[in-house]
Amino acid sequence: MQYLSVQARAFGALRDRELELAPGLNVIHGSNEAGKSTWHAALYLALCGARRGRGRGRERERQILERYRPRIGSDYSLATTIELEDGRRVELVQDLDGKVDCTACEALLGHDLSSGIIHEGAPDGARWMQLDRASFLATACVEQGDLLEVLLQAEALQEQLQRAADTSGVEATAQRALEILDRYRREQVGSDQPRSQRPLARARQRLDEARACREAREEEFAEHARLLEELSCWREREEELQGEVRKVRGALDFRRAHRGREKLEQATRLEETLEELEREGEESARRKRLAARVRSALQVREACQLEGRLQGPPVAELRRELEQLSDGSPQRSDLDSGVVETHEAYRRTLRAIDDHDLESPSRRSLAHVVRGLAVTSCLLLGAAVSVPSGHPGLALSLALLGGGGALLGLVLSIGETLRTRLELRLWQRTHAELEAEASELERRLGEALREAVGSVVGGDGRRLEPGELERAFQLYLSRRRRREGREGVDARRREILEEIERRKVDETSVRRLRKLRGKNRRRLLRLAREAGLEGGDETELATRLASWAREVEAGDGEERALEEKREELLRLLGERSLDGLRRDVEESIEEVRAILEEFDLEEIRHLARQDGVSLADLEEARREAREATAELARRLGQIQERELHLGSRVEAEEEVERARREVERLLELDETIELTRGFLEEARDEVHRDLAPRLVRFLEKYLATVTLGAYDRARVDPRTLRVQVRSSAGDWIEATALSRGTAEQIYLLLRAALADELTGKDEVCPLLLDEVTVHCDARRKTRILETLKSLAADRQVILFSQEQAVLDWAREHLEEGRDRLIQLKSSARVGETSRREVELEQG
Amino acid sequence: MKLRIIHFSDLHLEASFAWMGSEGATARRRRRAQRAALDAIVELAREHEVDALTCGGDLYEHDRQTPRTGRFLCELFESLHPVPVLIAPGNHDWLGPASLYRQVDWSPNVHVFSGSRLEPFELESGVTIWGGAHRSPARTESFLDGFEVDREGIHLGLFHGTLRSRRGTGDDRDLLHAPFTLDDLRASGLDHAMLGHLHAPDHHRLYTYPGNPEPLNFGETGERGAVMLEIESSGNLTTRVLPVSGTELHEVSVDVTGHGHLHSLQQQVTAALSGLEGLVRLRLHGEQDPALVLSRPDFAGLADVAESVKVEWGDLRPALDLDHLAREKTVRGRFIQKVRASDLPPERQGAVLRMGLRALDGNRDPGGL
Repeated sequence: MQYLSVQARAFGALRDRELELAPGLNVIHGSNEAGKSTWHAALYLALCGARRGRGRGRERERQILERYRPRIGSDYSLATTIELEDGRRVELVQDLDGKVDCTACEALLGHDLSSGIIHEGAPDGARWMQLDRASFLATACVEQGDLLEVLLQAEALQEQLQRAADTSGVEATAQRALEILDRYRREQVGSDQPRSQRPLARARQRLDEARACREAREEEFAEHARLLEELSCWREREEELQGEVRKVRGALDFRRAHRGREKLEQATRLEETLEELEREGEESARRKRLAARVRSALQVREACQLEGRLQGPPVAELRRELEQLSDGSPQRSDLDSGVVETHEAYRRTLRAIDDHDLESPSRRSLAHVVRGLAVTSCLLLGAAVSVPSGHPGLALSLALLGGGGALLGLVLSIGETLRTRLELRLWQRTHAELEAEASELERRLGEALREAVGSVVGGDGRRLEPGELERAFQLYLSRRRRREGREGVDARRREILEEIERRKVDETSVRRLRKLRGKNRRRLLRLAREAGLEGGDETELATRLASWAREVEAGDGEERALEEKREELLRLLGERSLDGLRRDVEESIEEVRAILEEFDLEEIRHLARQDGVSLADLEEARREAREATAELARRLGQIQERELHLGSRVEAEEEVERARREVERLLELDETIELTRGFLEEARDEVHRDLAPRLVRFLEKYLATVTLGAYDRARVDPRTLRVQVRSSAGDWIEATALSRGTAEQIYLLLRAALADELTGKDEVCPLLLDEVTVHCDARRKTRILETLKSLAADRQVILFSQEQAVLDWAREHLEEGRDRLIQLKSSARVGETSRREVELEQG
Repeated sequence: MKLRIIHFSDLHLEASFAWMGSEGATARRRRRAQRAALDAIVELAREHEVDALTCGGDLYEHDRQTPRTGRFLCELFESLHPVPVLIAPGNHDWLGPASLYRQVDWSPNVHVFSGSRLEPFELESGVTIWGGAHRSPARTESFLDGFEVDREGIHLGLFHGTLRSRRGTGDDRDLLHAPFTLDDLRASGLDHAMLGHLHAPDHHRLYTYPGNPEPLNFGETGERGAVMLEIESSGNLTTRVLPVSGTELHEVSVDVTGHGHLHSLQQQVTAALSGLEGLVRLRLHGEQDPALVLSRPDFAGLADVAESVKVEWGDLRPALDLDHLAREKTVRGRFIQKVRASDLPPERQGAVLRMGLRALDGNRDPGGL
């Protein structure tokens, strides 16, 4: 490719200027500020344009673009006409301001070729050379500084070669890239050693910690699960023991229910028997009470019959006899005071018995009250029933009154019965005591009289009847009176007086006896009616009553049997009623039914039959169940306590996952770095290995010519691109050790060689050199220019210079048609005005 | 009189959210949101006075559950008493000796189906719900194999399984989790199947997949939540979705083209994320300036109110003409050629290319994206 012309419409200080160029060596000469650098930049930008798009772009391109932006106006654009190796002429227009109106058209046919060379949003003519605006700048453009760098720094030549070979000189060298990667790996990945503090080691450590944490948590949960499993076992054990408790209790309940049922049946039978017996017992008791009363009445009757007759003269007759006695005060009888006293005591006791008989308990008066109340209640209830329906209040009141009366009657009846029973017992006891006392006195009186009267009285030794006693006592008295001769009037008087007294007492007794007999007769009649005996005279009735009482009293065995059955029933019932027992049995049966829902009937029945199952077994089962329940509760508490401190498994898992991802990321990064290094090293080695011999060939093509035979051979290290040349003496010399002039020549040759190498095979890259000879002496300058002239035989070379020597050399050595000398005329500062100074002189 | 049932599935309580790549707090918030979703479902059941609440499995994740999970579920379902809560365990909450279903002392209204075959639960006279349980994490056979309803009335299915016709028959994964076909369903005599397992909601005359009610990942589409089924005495059934999730999902794409510096790109991302709540998936795409190094932490914290930002790399292309560079006769060109010619997967090729070109560019931070 070669430039044919460049038009600066508005570029730096240039306005509507054009530069036409020859295909060989073009020397553009001008003094300072004549516009050389401006045209140098214009050549670059006219071909390559500027990147279009957001972002800052590369620094060097950006600097160039900004440096030549016109201060006034907006038509910041360039145009160039180039010729490709295939002969096509292309007109490129670069709108450097808006970067929109950029075109690349074939000059002859007008075809738009822009799309084929668009790079970073704008047409880039370097693309025809398989370069781009960045690599073209690095490859084709040689500046004064590049040359100086090679001359001043030993490694610069090699580095520039590497940079060009590695990245077209645009960016770092492959070696530098590898160093960057190594450092990046050290910093971002680091060693995998455990003690390292680099990211990978730390990430692995975090992963290990996270895994340990997760495992610890898993162990916690496994332990928790184990505890739960144990808890489940304990729960089953507890349920089993509770079941055992229920089973044993069920067996006991079964047994209890069974026995309870038997007991209930027995008790029911007893109850029925008792009810019957009690019904009979009540009648029996009543008859017994009645018999006791009959017995008492009969005794009273008998007593009344014995003592009911008055003996001796009446009181009036005795008084007359007493009056007939002439004198004397009554004399005291000397009768045996012991017999008399015993006789008197005996009489007192009999009277006391009579009196006591009169005080026999009776329910009659209260029974009348009860009966009255009952009748009243019935009447009131009847009245309540008959009250018209319009008076419910009255009916209710009457009914309440009737009910209350009946209740009161019932209460009083019960109270009276109890009271009568108690009084009867007391009366009987007192009666018995009096009877005993009377009997004793009777015995003593009989014995005393038997001693006093002899065989006349009770000579057969039997006990004397009360009538016999009285007759014996009278006989005793008369015998004593006759036997004692001294009985005088006084004695008689005393006797009469005593007789009177006794007669009075007897008369009183007889009156009382008659009264008592009458009362007792009525009592006997009543008792006979109560006993169901009626008819007949008193004696007959008394006989029948006595017989009846004996029969009744003979029935005590039934009472005892009743008591025994009652005691048996009480023993069966305990402190319950029969209904209570029945309820208990029903409850037991219900409990057994519930148990049988859980357990087999035969098992329970079998267990209930076993003698081994007892309350002790139940207690033992309960104790075991309680222990199991307590253990269950303890373990449950332990588990709940643990649960409070159980961490989250998912969080531990997430932490592991995060740590694992970080390790994976770092390992992936490490692998990427390693891969990148590998590819880079391979690429570098291959390119350098390919490049080295081509560089050698290029150098040797020009070396002898440009060095005037001082050096003829060259070699390049494929690994480092280190350059050596062979002197005419056959010594291999490092390029960096050559004289400056030779080094400059070799550098320019190498730049041209690299440009050729980096450029596509169908194109040749032009060289744009800016003041590359300014620091050279005349000899070196000439050698550089000659080198350029040689290189220009195969490519377009454009040299910008301000030096007169260069101008002179150009005037002398440039060939008409092939080369061109352009002089930039300048009289003032370029850029002050766009119209003042720029004129082109083409030679 | 209509029978009302709220059905849900695939809540996945205690799921891992490690995929979010964020710190633990975000994952904990996600899990709280899941519980809130279940709270909302129970509240809906209470509000609508339903006749039953049903769960089609994957209520929780067995491997990650804790006693707290059990207490939460127990108390929540107990609060609905006496409304029946019917659960058909799935492959993630499979019914085993150590599963929560066995450990928790459920209230009487909770019924967990436990059979490997469908078992009846008479919801009310003439309405039977047939449910079954996964009893292992995989290889559960179809619940519908040989199943046919054996009584009169309305019959509803409740189980966790894969409708094979949805994904074809060639996917072996389908065979692991109670696979069945639409023909199986028709032959079963079930009037409708309340299902779980597929996270994408699917409503059909014969079945309902409610989908996961609370988002588990980005890219979930379709109206999801709990499903209200209303069944008339004639057997006529209608469904409607009741959303329960309070979580917003946002997909944000930002073009990195033209951004030569991270700062300017971060400004654009900040503007794009501004005001977005919930979970955001940020996808960066476009032509990436060679000088621009992308790293997820540089973007994850740019949201003002969003709960979490998951950064993903979309179609990111280097702002370089790699074809052109590959033609260079330089080490760089050869490097590109070699990487491209390698058998590395495309993503790894891209990473190597990015790293190598950055290193050749002298960039001291050649890593990242």
